[in-house]
Amino acid sequence: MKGIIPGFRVLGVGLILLLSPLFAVSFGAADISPGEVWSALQAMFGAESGLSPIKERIVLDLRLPRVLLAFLCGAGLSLAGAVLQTVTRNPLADPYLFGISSGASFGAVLVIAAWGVGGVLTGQYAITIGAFAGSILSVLLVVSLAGTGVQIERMLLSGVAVSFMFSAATSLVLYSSDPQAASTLLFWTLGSFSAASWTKVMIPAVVVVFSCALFMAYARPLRAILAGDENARALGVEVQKLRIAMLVLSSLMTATLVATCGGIGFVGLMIPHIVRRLLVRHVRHLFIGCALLGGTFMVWVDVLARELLEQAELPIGVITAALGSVFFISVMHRRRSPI
Amino acid sequence: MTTAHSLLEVSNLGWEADGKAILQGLNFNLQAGEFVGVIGPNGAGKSSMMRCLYRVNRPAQGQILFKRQDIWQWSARENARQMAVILQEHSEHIGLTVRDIVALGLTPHKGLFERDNQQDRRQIDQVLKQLDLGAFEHAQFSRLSGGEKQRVMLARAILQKPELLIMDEPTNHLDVHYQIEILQKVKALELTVLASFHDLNLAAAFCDRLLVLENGHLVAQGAPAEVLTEDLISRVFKTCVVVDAHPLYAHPRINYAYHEGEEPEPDAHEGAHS
Repeated sequence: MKGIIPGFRVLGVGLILLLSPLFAVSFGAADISPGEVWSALQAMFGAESGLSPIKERIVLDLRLPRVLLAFLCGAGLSLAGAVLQTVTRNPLADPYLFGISSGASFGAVLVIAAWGVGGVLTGQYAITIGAFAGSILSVLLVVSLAGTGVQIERMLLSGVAVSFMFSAATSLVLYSSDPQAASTLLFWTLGSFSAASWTKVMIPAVVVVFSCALFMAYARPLRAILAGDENARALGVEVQKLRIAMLVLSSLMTATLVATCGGIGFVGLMIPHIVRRLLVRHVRHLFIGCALLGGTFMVWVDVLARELLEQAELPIGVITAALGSVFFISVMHRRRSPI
Repeated sequence: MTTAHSLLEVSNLGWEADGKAILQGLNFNLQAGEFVGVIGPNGAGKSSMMRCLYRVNRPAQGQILFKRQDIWQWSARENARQMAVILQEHSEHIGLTVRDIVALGLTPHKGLFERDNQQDRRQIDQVLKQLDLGAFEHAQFSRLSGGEKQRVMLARAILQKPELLIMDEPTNHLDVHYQIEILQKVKALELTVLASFHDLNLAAAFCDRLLVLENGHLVAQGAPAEVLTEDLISRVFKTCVVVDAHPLYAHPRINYAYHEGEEPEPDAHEGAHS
């Protein structure tokens, strides 16, 4: 029906996406208006902001990296979901379904449990390496269980099995570590951006931007895979190689994000679904849409996490899971009603 | 048959699945510009043989040369720029429109990051028009009828600009009108074509030459008049026929015996195909 997206709609969506971080930065314990945020941003490029140094520091050193990290996380997880859904031609695939997130969670939790919450080794790199190792392990397990034929159904089932296995292992580690560590770990497995800093933003930024560029580069062959493996092969696409490469790349990106922000669910499933329904069919547009919408969505989820409770912060994963379940129930109802 | 100008040369081709030989010792050539049909009963190996040609099946023995070079030495993209394939089955739930599917034909011609430019869009428009698909441009592919789907796949193949077009039962599931229409449109392209058929009369009408497969062996090849004899058809297809000349054209016409006991052949149970 709708052939090409009208330009004004793109413009409107773009404007919301660009303004979102500006407003999101103004939410928090200290009272800062969007106008003051804008002044602080100008100060970053050498202009005189006229703000108190404390407010300027809060905006630039605390809130801005946090909003950026939330954006990168949402964008990355949504992209990973969109890519996995495309290469498997299954709209229910997401980073969790493939065991990637569970593997990453397990690896990271194991590192924290083994060396303690505040140890020297548990700097960002040790956890990232742990999460990354866990996710690669899960990918290797899924691929070896699914066999060389790379049949999609076998791959999805293997993903579910591996995911459950790692969830069980993660719970076991949580159960057997001391209560203090367990509560930290639990909060961590549900995700949070509260520890965001400029140094923590760097690695995810590089990985997400790099992966996104590669996904965009392969948008055309990925789209051919949508028409079926044999069709794609007849169009000169090396389907098996591309599928494995995309799986590995998504896992690398997911692992980095889980290591930095914790295991945040539902985003990779929900955002591609919305983008596909509302905007586009083309794989390239799907990727752009997922990155922008997923990022913006996560920025606002983080605002909710900061604002909903008076005294404490809610874990991100709790909010995304709650929104996700409501979203899918409503989709199901709307699907049923017209029949 | 000379090999001097062969576009495709298949020698001693063998392929096996799960240790079982499906194709054995196939030898044939395709000359540039020929329309060659592949016929044979169900399970004879027609699709398996074609899948060897477009590199989904890797042969266990023998060699397939395309323009004098082993097809496995071309890259997948190079191969797809010279050889287009229209499959028998299409994914049903892919959510792509007619125009999207047709545009896929550009895949082997485009580099990474490269987007459709003005000229590509013009080409797509032109191919859509050529196959009367303009009105369906934005329709969901999965909602089309069988005949329309085949036209879309042909449009995609044309956009691929191949030298060889391979079609696995292009007339499957189509009514008589669409069967004839799709073959007329293919014929008008003047490409080298290799297509498998169940309908022997269509094969006789449109093909310059026929390959007959039975149990993975090539049991006959030649012009329709040489190949489609009463003897060969009753032997290979286990069906009694009377072959005469088509009243309008010179090619053979196959008339099936539909009831048992009318012909001396005892097991004439395999029904005729429409």
